[in-house]
Amino acid sequence: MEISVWRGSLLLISAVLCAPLLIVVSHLFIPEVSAWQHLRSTVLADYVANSLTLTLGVGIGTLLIGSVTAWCMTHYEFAARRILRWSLLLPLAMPAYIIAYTYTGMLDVAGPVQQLLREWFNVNYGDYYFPEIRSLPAAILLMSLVLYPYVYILARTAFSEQSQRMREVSSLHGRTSASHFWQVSLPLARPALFTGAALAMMEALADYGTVHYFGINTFTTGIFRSWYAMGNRNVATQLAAILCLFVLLVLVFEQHSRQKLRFYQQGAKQQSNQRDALVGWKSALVSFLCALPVILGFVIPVVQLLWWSASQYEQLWARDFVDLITTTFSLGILTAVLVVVIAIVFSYQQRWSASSLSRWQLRLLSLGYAIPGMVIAVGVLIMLGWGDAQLNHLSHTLTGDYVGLVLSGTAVALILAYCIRFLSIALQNTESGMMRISPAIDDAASTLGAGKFRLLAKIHTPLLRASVISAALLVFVDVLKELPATLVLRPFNVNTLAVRAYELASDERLIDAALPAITIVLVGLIPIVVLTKALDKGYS
Amino acid sequence: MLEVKSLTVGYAKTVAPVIEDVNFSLARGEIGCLLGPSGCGKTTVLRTIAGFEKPRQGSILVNHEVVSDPKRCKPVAQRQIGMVFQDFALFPHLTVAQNIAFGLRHLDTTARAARVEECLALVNLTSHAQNFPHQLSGGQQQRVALARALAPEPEVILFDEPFSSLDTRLREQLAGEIRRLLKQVNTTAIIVTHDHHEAFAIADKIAVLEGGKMHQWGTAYELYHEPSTSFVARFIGEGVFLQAILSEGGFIHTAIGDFNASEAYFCEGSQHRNVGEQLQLLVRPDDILHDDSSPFKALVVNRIFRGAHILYTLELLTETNRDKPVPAQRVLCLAPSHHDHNVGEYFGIRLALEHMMLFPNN
Repeated sequence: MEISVWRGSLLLISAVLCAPLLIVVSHLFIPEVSAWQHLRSTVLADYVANSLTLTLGVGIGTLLIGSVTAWCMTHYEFAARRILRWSLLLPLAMPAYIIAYTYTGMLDVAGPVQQLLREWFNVNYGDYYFPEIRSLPAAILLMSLVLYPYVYILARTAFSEQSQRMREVSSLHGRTSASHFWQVSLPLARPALFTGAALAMMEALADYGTVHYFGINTFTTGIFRSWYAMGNRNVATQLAAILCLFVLLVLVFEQHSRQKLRFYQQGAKQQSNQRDALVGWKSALVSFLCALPVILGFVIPVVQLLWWSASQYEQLWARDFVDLITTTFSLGILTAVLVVVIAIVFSYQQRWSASSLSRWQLRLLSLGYAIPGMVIAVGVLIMLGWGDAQLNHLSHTLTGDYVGLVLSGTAVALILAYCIRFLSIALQNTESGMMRISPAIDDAASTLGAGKFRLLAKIHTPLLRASVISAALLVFVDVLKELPATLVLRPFNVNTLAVRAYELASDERLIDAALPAITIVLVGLIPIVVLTKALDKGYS
Repeated sequence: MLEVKSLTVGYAKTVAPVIEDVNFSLARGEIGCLLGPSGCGKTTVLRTIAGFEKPRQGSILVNHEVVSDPKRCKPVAQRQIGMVFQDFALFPHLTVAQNIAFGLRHLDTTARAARVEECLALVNLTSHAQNFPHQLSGGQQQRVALARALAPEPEVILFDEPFSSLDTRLREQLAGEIRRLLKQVNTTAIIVTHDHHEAFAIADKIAVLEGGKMHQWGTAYELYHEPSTSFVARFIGEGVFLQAILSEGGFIHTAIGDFNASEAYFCEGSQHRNVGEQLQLLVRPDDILHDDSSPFKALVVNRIFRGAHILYTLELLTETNRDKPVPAQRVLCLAPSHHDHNVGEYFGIRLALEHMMLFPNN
């Protein structure tokens, strides 16, 4: 009895979490002819071309930055290496839309850079060439600058796990180090590099803030516009469904690479690889090259944001900002707790039953990280809108009153969307934590008379403490940064830091947007500190 | 106390069972051992007794109560069976005292503290009560695991390869200590191991398993001197099989003499004996005596010095006056080390068998 209640509630939770995505995808199979014709004749080609260019561009950009920095960090000893060990991850704290606003503010016609140029060379606007910041290439560059750590983290692990012996074999066979790189190191690290690039590409597909601000038409902006500006929900859903197809492509690519990763990287003991010590101009050059992404992707925008915020510092005590912080943090904490509890329960279930149903359940739930927030938002709105209609119908027949939009119009919708999007992050942590607990521990506890629930409460949860903390932290920060789903689903008059930054920036109030933006970035640093420690523990 | 009756366990109905028709029983306070090479199914027997696996056929009784059969299976948590795991499975986030107290939830606080104290004293770890498992040595961890399993006063306590993660030199000493402890608290126990030295050091009764089947259930003496199958003979102790032929007049003819067949045990279906039938005679190294006056001479082909004794590998001289030449046979001989012979030398040997175990020729 106890067990079947447990199973039933797990199935219900996973059904609720999977339904929105399934609803969106199912629209692929019920194509609306009129919606399609409209799309095809107008903007579809534009969406496809822009989204594809952006995604591929970000893939290539992150691969380049991530693998070069990882290679230098694992193979050379140079001046800035110690600082870069932790600082190369910093751009992870910078959401793409924030770096986009910041650079726009700096490099736009009215920005300080062009003003200076005009003053120095005494020219007027239009008399000189300056690259347009609000453009697709700039979007690719800026996103690559904040997303390269996905590649860097995996590449650094891959390169440092490659045994010193392999290098020795290559030199015994008379290979130069360049030939070793191209013929041994790179092919071995390729699955890791591709996995990282695929993750970055998914982020690029999911982005809304940057492309909207730059005025680039992609799927996410198209969905938003169709839903709100044109009120055409069918078109929006169709677009979301096609976006899902693209994501699926990247996902297949990612899963394929991951599978190879398991085969290429057999978790060999990380040996302290000998690094070649660079001196003089070589050391300076490599230091500069590796520091460049950090400077461009973190230091400059943060300095600029701090500068802007400094003029706004009295805002810190303003009622408005305190409310904003309270709302955002409450949402973050609530979601983090909920998501972590669900993740623990599901990974615990996985330990007990290896049935194919529970395996599929878990796999489906782990897809969230790949699904753009905009798509999830559309699915959640459709599902909860239907739920609200049913509830109102029911309450009307029972009491004669309508209860209103209790699901889709409240924080329920928002938190559900967050759960769908971020459950996979928490699951990764709790699952690997569970994996480290020997099954004999479970057996020992049951021979000592402990039931399933006592086992979870007294043994697994305390043992999972580290995984749980890091999972909660990651989810919390991700909620803080999340823009598209929040924008669509937030209840009336509810604002988060991300939404406020977006709104102010869209109104060209960049200086006012700086305070919420820098808050997101600074809080976002916390999990990076944790991550750096974890990464360094592996190498020392 | 503990009875295992024609136990068969398989993971899927279509696949051959992991263990088949295993039978044995233990009285209260007796220590049993499941011995066999890896993959023989001994751990499965143990896990079925604990309740982690369900039997396909047969039953398990504790105190005359059926705890497992194909229809019923008492949950692990209610069985009152203690278990000591291969890697000890101590809870790393709990202290030694908290680990031991884990299974004592049914007691009130004072009674629990008293029992923990008692168990700590039993395994001689009172001073380590507040330590965490990772602060202890391997041997100490094992004693904590033992104390934790004994604390709720289980009906039966199970050990899964308890010595495998410990230093080889410690093993026999620890086996002796555990045996003394188990006898002191008079608890029925089963130990799984692949090492017959460990089994001999700790157990009253030993089951030899191979390929999911039980070959023999007996004391260490019986297994060594009266093995019921040639597998048991080979698995336990050193020894060779010597060719033996049943000849006229009830004699068994071997390369080192003839023996009276009426004194022999015919094992494994070698009962229906015909004159001229080829059989195999089990010869242990201590069955071959160094005897210079013996007419049977053997050639030393290898020697291993073992301090008090030397283990010789001897080649028996091919018999003459026979129609068919017999291929050279080898035997082992454990001789006192003052009988010092070099490789290539001959010396006389005599077969002194207390138990004549004959097996079919294959």
